[in-house]
Amino acid sequence: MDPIVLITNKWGATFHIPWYLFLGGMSGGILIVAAITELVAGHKPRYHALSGLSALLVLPFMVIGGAVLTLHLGKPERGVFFPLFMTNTGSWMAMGGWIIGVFVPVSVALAAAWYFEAARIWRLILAVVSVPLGILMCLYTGFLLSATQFIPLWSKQFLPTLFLLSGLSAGLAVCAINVYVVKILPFPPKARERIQGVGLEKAAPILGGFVLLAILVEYFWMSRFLDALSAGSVGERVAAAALREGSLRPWFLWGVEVVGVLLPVVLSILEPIMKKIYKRDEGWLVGWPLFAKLHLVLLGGLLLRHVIVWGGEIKQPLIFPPQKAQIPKVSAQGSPQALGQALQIINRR
Amino acid sequence: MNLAIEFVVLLAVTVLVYFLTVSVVMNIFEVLRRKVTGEPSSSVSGTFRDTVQSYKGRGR
Repeated sequence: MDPIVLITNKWGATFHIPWYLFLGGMSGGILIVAAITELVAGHKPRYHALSGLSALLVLPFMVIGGAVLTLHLGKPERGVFFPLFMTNTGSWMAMGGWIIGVFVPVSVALAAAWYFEAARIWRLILAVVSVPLGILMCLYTGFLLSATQFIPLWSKQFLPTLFLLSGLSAGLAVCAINVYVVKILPFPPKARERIQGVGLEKAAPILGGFVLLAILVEYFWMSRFLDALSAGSVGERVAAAALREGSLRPWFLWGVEVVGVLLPVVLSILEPIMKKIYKRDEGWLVGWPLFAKLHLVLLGGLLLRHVIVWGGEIKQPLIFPPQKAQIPKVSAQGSPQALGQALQIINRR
Repeated sequence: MNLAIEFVVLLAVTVLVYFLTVSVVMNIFEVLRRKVTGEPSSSVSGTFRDTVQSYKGRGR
């Protein structure tokens, strides 16, 4: 088998990796939303339908996410047949394969439980299993990057939680958009009747409220991440400077902070004002701020992944005095024992 | 520029796959439901015909 070489500067050159990280995190968020909706309000037909129809979203997004990731691999067959090739069970790449392998069928089962009107106990069991799976899926996309060492922006301490919060906000946003879109899809008559009969669109503003909460928490966490980078090592300070005043600044400022956080917050404030001015609760005239907010949150989530992947270019500088740079001479050069001996000598210095 | 084109293409493919997958899975669920309950027109073509009719008649 040929060795695998990770060339991180290729990851940001195309949409493959950021798109996968975004769709994977968003799918995790979708399953969390679907499961919590079922747990909290699954006894009400509207929220039961919201849970089932949201869980159904995971499949298409994971199909696309899996396809772009596979197309990016130098050896796609290793991704497709990962249980055979990835025997390093401790790596997040192999663990991620197993997480996806369980995550997608469980999400389809949750959707099927709505469609086939399964007993509440089965729906609750599926929901209880789905919550940790959704959280794991979001966290895994962060751990996948942060497992790479010497990249300050891919922090193990902050990145997985940031991706969890971003996945949750994107998941909430896409579930809210979905309640409008499912009405125009070619569904069988029975499904159409069930969807139209429960007033699903009334759930969208509630989801929109939770989106606001999620992006505010996400922004707080992002600020803490940046503060920690600014107060950290040389490489971390370089990474923070790249985001605040360097090459990544326009994408971070306009893409992540303005499009992904500030504009959605402004639109959230505008929502009740529009309803008060026009004295109505429904229709495009008062509904456009919510609709725009949901799309902007999705765009902000995608751009966050891009900025983080592009930031992988900034490596932690290796502080290595010249006297330590000389390779020590050891017996039996080239063997694993010789390498161990050499490392011991370097460490002793 | 290439990145912008790639974004538009991927977005279009994602939306298309979303529409197709969600619709197809729903119709598969319906075929299975009809087979389990023993309803008439439980074949794939029967379910598809009903879906098309229901889709054409939506909003009426």
